Amino acid sequence: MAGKYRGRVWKFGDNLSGDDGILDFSAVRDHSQVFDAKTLSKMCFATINSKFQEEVKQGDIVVGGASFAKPAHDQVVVGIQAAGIEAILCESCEARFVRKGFNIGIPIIVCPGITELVEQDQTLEVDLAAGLVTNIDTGVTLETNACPDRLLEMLELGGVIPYLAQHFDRGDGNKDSPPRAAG
Amino acid sequence: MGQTIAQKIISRAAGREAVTPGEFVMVSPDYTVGCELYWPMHAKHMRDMGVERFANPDKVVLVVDHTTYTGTGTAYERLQSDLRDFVKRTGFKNFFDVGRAGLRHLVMTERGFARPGLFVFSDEPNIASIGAFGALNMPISWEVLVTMVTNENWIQVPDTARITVTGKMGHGVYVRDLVQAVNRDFAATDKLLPMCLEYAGPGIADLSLDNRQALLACAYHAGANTAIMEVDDKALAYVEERAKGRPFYVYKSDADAKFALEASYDLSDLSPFVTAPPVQSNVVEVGEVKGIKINQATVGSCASNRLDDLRAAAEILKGRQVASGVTMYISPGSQEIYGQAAAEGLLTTFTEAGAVVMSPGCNTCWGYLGVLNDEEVSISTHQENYRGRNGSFNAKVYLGSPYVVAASAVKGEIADPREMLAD
Repeated sequence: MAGKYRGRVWKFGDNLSGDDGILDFSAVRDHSQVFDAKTLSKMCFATINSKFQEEVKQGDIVVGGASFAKPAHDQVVVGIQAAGIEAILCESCEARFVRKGFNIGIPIIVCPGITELVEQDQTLEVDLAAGLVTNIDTGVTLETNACPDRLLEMLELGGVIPYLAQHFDRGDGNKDSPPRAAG
Repeated sequence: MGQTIAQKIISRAAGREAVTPGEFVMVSPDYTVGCELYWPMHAKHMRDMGVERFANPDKVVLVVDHTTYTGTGTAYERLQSDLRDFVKRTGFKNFFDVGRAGLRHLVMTERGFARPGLFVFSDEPNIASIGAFGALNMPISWEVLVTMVTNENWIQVPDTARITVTGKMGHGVYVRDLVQAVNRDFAATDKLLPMCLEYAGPGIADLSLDNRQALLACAYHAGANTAIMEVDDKALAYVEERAKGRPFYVYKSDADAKFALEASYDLSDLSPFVTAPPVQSNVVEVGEVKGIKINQATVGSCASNRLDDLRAAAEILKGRQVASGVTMYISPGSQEIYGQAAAEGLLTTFTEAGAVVMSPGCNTCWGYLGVLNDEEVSISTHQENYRGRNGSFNAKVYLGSPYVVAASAVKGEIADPREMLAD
């Protein structure tokens, strides 16, 4: 179901840098190739929580504190996603960071109160369309902003490039003309 | 309810009367600006979409600025040649290659792309410097490709915060010291995330255009997503000279506009500051770190690579020598500035002092040049001071104004520039 996620929580604190924390800058400097997601996935959170690399499973969820992943070049969210994480929730982050997630098919939700709601290793359920985040272990639910339809569809299709390709194909079908994004 | 400058610019780009912070709107940008680093990814994504050219090439600006040197051991030469192939194949006009340009922040202003009231998508928050001429930078990422090929994209309308600046800077104080005071107060908080920071007040009116750009180029480190200011006669004269008849729209925030946060700074309260590694909020008075030995001093980056920055460094370096054991790199921000620095004799001052003048580019700030070894220490006007940005994870990067950096280069240790500046 689009926009619904359920998984084990990996919880991190405030002001965790993306470029000097989640990854390090060596992962960022060489922008010359399309990202090597596997290499990035092996680096992420490795110096912050030693269990992460050993235990992370597909479908797990990252919960971050204030100013999560600032600053973060694009490699950071690519690495987190490739490690198996399917949703990121945090107290606050850059607007740009949110876009970087949705653009490659992983939701990043600014959700004040999330660090109070859930602890490391608990299970979180997220319903983006309804704007609800529930701690399955405690049964407590937090309301957050409902996600716009355009972004939900981007997630369903795997990011902004497949989204645009799809909307383009539904148009005039002429591969030589630029696609039009849906409003 | 009144609108801020940012809201007015977004309204225009969205074809709306007004917009409200928090709402999602579709906007059509006046320009999208990107750099060469993303080119392999853009090329792949265009292939994935079956798109061969941009929707409106006149609204796209592409600049080679991060990797002006295609050094041994980098893969940058391939990246540059692929981009040049695209430019040639498609006849794309707004391409600014090595030797023709500089940082895209400066290309935007010098070539008259950044004009009041225009909405610009870019791949970097530091391009908020164009706000000194009333243009709104909306930083995204490799996603700039989306607006390059579709000419539209969504944004969530940001709140605006306003910082009012009064007073005059004292002896040896530079705009960077205001940047550092703001970072000291905001960088460790999320108060400005993800706002547009509007600078206002008589202290701003007194700043040169170069210094206004420098101030806005650093707003990101305080947490702001973008930044802007009202344009005055000084800014408009610059714009009119470069706009060459292209349109612009002068906006001011309404008297009843809502600011989500307000703060004020008095320039006369500032003294020369240094940001200690590894985070932006580690701001101390220069006296607290004075005497720390350095290996490298650099003037450059979009925070400090305009003519006034070079003049400030030269003011200290004139007739003095960079200390033995210290390497000093200076990177002018654009070809235009490089030429002006030559005409003013600044380059002579630098070379006689023993500094290395590089060609325009991100250069040492991007971290692939002037690399630091373990335990080495640098002081620079760079944007970043986190671990690993400039080489070894164990190197230490201090940040300061061109005055502080040049004075430290001469002394071989972090130094107070006031001792070397004429009153």
